[in-house]
Amino acid sequence: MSFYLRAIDYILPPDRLTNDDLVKMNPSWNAASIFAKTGIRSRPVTAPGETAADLGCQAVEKLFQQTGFDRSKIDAILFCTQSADYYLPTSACLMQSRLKLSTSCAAFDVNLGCSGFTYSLWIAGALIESGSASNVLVIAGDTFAKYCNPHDIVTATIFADGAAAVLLTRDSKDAMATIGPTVLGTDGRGGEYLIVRDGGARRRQCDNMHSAQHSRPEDAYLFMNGPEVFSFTLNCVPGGIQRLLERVNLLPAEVDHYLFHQANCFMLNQLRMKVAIPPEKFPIDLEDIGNTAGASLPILIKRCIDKNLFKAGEKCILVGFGVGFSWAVTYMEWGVRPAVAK
Amino acid sequence: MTEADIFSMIADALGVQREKVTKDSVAGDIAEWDSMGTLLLLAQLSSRGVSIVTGETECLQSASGIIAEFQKAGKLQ
Repeated sequence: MSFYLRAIDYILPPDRLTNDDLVKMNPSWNAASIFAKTGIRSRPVTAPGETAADLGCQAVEKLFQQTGFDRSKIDAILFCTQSADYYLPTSACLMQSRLKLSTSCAAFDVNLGCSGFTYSLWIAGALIESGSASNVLVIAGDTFAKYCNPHDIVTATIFADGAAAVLLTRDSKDAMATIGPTVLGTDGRGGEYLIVRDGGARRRQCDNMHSAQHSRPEDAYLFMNGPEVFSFTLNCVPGGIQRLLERVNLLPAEVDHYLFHQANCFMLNQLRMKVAIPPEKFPIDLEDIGNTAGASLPILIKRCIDKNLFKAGEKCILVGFGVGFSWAVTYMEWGVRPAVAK
Repeated sequence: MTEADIFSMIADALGVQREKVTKDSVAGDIAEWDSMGTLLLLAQLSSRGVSIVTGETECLQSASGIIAEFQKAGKLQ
């Protein structure tokens, strides 16, 4: 059994951080070199006090306007984020209220980053396929730029803020694409290599302020060990794709589009070569967006739709990977795939 | 790969002269062996079938560490 993508949209905050802005803050950096290494010229960034949930609600409202879908029919809302408004309550509950969804609607956050969108598709699919839900909103939003030390070239040059929303349905009516299956993976040994150490229950910031064992100032920011993250992607992503291809009984060449989490240009090109994907099947769309974590993949999909990239019957592989370490690879076929009797 | 091949690979990846790379070379000795240089080296190893397991990328900070990885992978002549 499959489920369907009925609608998709995204929101980027209007403020931008350009490479020139970064060079002003860090005179030893070079704007051209940042672009050459990351493929990014500017990044959307949220204003102080503006959150991923704010962007996510805007993306959902756009989606409702686009489709005219009756919001009272939403059965579940999943907000995939690592930029929640509060420790508690879960942001998805607040969004249920803000979006005026039914009180019979389930709502919860999915605490994953760059693998979170494809992971959330898997969860939403399980809800739909089990009969627990018919119409599910998956929202992926993050504001990682808020976590970046502006003087850390590894993170400040890459991460950006944004949110996207998709409406997933059991009914194929008006569907854009057929989704599923998904294969997943985890290597928690990598947790310490992409991390914000302070702020969680293990090291609450208010405790640290009064603690003799004060944390290091940099622990309040996002830390990324580039070689470890890169090594993980090279080791795990190709195998994940292979597992999914075996599951859907496809050869690599039969896939029309490989849609990857938009990490950065260097990593994407290395992965593309490792998996032997032709460049024309591998869109990269980072230049004025940056890495928006879990939102990057649905943003990429929507921007590909806007460029009329997909044709009926075309086969797509969606690849999410990152913090955790965690990865999830999802199959998507453009248009409505006829149901196969089991 | 011989040790000499590995030194050439490192030099090419970093864009430095071959003579600058010896068995004693470490990242701190060569300006181009920065965070980006380390990623380029990792890509070179990967393309030659040498994968680094999670938590082991410190080996990329020295020529001897890289040689050891080729040895572990059974690819050092």
